[in-house]
Amino acid sequence: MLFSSLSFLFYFFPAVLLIHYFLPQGWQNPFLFLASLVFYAWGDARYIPLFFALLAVDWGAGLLLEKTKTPWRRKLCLALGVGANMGSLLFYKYIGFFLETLGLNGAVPLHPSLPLGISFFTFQAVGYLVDVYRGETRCEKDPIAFGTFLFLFPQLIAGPIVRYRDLAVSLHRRRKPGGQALESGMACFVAGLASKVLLANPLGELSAEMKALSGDAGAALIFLLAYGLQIYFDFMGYSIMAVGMGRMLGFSFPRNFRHPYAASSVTDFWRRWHITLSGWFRDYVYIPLGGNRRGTGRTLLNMLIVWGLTGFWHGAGWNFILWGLWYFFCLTLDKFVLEKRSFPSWTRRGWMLFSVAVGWGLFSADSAFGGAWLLKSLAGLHFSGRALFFLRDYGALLAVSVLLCVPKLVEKGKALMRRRPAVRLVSVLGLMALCLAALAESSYNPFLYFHF
Amino acid sequence: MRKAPLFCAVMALLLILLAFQLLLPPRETSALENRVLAQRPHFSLSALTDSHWSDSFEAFAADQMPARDVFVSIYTGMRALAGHRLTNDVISGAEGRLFDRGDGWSGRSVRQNAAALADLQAQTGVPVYLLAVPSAAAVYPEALPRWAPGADEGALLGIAEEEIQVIPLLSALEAAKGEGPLYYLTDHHWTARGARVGYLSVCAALGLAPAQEWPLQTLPGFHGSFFARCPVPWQKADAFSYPETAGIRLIAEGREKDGLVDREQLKGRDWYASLLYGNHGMMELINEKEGEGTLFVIKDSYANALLPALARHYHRIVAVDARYFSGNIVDAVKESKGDKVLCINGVSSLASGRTLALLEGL
Repeated sequence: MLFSSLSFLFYFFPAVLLIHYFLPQGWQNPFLFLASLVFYAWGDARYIPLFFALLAVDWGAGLLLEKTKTPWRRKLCLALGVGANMGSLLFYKYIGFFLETLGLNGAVPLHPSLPLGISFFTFQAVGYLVDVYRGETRCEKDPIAFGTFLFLFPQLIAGPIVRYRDLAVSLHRRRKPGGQALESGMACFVAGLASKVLLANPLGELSAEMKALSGDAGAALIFLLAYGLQIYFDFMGYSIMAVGMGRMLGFSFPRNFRHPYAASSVTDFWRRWHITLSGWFRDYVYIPLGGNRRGTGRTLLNMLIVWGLTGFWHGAGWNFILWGLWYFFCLTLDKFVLEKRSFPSWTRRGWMLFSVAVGWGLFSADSAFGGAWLLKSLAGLHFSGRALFFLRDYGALLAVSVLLCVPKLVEKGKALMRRRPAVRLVSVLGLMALCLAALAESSYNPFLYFHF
Repeated sequence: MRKAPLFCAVMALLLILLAFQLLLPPRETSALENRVLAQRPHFSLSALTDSHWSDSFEAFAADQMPARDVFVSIYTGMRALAGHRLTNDVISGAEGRLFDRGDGWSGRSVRQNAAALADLQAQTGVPVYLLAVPSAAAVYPEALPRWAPGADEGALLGIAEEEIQVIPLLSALEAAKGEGPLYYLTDHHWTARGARVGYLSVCAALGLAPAQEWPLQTLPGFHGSFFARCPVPWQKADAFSYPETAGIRLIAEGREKDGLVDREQLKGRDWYASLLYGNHGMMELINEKEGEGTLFVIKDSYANALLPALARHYHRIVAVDARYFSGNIVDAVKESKGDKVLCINGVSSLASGRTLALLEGL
């Protein structure tokens, strides 16, 4: 099920939230677990057995990790647990890619379809196991509560990647969010929905039109702008819808985005973009590998591994790996050159915007060098009127989108809403009505990050 | 819940709409969209995990949205206010004039279709003439927004001219612009006045003396095909005109119709579809009093506004719509014993697919 669909907004969302609110404690987790299963299985239940199997393995491994004191047994438990999760991820998401790269896809025609949300599910599970192993959190003994944690529908499909310890307390008490949580949660949810439906979707139309005008330098530039804004509002929208729904259910999810395009450098960008993912790689890959504590050479290697994997996580394709490696290059430049010398701040910011733009060029391609059309178009320096037509057509949308990337303006807007609840109510209700209008106009609504 | 007014308000909005969707009787068709609307699929527990069922359910939830047309108008209006001039491939031009976005039209299609007509001429030995009706964008380019995507219809007509006799029309339309609207604002078709210009061009090409116009009935408040795709609430409506004919019989798919205009259709939304009772695989116009000889016509909907005038000159017009005709066209032409074949097609359909080339026999 998609958040931005009418079946979700009319049939699932009000019923689940309201019923959950009024249920007594013992019923809340089972109800939420069941609702999340329905949400996930909607239209496709093929992978429920796989996820249940992983659930069982992870729950069992968590219990054993806490009970067992013998180091080698704990290591084995951890390895098996992590192996089960990563093995499933590697198989379902990447086997086709590996076979193709090795030229074996003729001999071994394996191309399993991708279980929705597997990238988020497995990363959450692995994070849990490592945290229990390190003793940073107690294990979850209640299988229903554990299932609720892993399957929680607000973040199951598209994140944010939630740590067990963020939910541990909420899972074991009666969740009855107060007025403040309900208000801010709903405002967040509608803001996220509007971000997806009223900004990201039309921006997607514009990107598609510009891609069709390949050969035009203006179109290539507008494409990069539109695509960068689209992917931000798409993903950020989904993340804050998750945060809003979490709040209305009595949970507290971490923020996944913090005005990334206002970052002061590439390093800062990755502290503001998909925060839970870079945090996960930092805590579970970079630091275990030694981080930056083993000398420059080792630091570089660790960064290379982390960024290659980050890119690869986004999709089974060379363009994603290249995207990750591009950021490795940009971040090293930032860390070892730009940060050391005292370059004026606008150079670091300019370099950030440039690297992000190039990054999106790589990311948006269908293949390793599929982004070459952008380079060719830009180099050709041919500007046609057609791109100008679309620039004017989408001008207001682009302007609003760019303004909404400026933290000061967004914070001012939020402050205004807090001061005047009546304005907030009317605006949110109006936005919801507009979102419903947009959804009535087109019922199909794919989310860019869905092939994760 | 006085502590959470916003939460309650949004929930109330969703629950009220849900209640209406469940309690009100479902709509069967959308006149605005000219299609059948999805109905609630039958529920069973196993259906929840079936992707066909969930797709049908989503279609149902969207199609049976309470006040759906109002919501769609709100959205389209909002887009127009935000400066969009292209919505659902419809371009909003000056003074309320709407246009088809033509940039997907291909010269290759035009050539294939025109070559098919030449093939028909060669096989039957009957001279074939093409009346390729340009779209409003070719006749009113000044009303298009700057840099708007579109096709070079003059060039497309040039391609057709290389394969078959094309009746000159574009310059006649441009000359007649001042006398009144030649195309509807909200529909891709030409008006009765535009069709008259087409008729005069056909007469000039076929050597007929133009007859007097049939008296016209005018109905205000027409919202055509473009409006269906881009229902901006403040769109200017058209005045729809249809001819009052006498002495001409229409036989469509073997059944005789009452007059040439379907009055029932005029009570609906798509008034242009009332002309000649819409499009049929094969139909005949019989003129018992005047006219002599037989004309064979290969048509699309543009001809519906023109054929009643042409019917004055011929005892019998046999008209075939290439999109719905399933027989062998060469045989049909020979059987009709028509001494000329006239193909009346919009440039839009000639350039959007090989409809004529796909006719059996060619």
